Amino acid sequence: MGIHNEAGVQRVSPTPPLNELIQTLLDLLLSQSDPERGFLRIRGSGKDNVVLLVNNLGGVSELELGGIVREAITALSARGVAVLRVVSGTFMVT
Amino acid sequence: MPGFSLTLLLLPSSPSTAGPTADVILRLLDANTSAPGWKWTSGAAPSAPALPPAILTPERTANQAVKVRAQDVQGFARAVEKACNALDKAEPEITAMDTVSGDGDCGLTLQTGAQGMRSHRISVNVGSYDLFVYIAVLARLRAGSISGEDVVGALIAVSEVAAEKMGGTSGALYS
Repeated sequence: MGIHNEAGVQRVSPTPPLNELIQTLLDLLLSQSDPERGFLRIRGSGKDNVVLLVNNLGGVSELELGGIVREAITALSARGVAVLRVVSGTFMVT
Repeated sequence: MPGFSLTLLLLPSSPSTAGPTADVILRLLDANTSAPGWKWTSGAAPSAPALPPAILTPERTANQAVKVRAQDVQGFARAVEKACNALDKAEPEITAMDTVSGDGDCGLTLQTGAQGMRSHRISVNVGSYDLFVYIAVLARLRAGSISGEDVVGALIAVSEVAAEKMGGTSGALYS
C-alpha cells in the first residue's frame, strides 16, 4: 500500500475508474494463486461471509468513501462473497 | 493522503472450526466502544445497493418542452411582476420569521430572487404578442434560446434566475 511513501505494489496512471480499481484490488486480495498472498480461502461459492473494512487514508471525502463502500459491496456480491458487516472510516492514515 | 484500502475478514464457515464462531466475531465487532476514533457501525448486514438513479440530461430546454401559450398574455406578465413586488414588500416579515425559526436570511434570499427577475427586461414572444416579462437574469444570454410562444420557457428562465441569483436552500429548491 505504501503508507510511508513506499512505492506500493504497483502504480497506475491515469487513475482508473472506481469500478475497475476495485476489481484490481479484489483480484489482489482474493487471488488464490500466490502462496504469499492467497491465504484467505475465499471460494466464491456463495457461502463465503466476510466483514469488509474500507479504510480512508485520510484525504477521501465522506461522499467518495460511501461510493467506494458501495462499489466494493457490489463487486464482492458479484464474486459470490456476502458482506455481513461494513466498517468504513478513517482508521489508518498516512 | 487521498486513497483508501480494503481489508476483508473471512468469517469462519462452520462452528466446528477452531476459534470463535462467526456470531461471536460479529457480536464483538458490533459492540459499543468509547474509542473516539472508531467510527459508528450499523451492526447489520448492508442492504443490497440500489440501482443508481437515472442520469438527468439537461436536454429539455425551452425549445423542446411542450409549449403552452398564456391565455392572458398581459396578465401573465403582470402576475410575474406583481409577485416580485409582493416579495420585495414582504422581505422584512419573512426574514423576521426566518430569524426566529431558521438562519434569518430567507426573506433576503427571496428578495434577491425577485430583484434578479426584474433586473432585466427580456422579450418573450407569446403567440402574436410581444410579452415583456421582467424576468431575468441571464436574460440576455438566454434570449436566443427562449423562442417564445411558451410559458414553460418563461418558467425555465425564472428557475434559472433562482439558480443563479438566489442563495440558500430556496435557490436550490426553486431552480
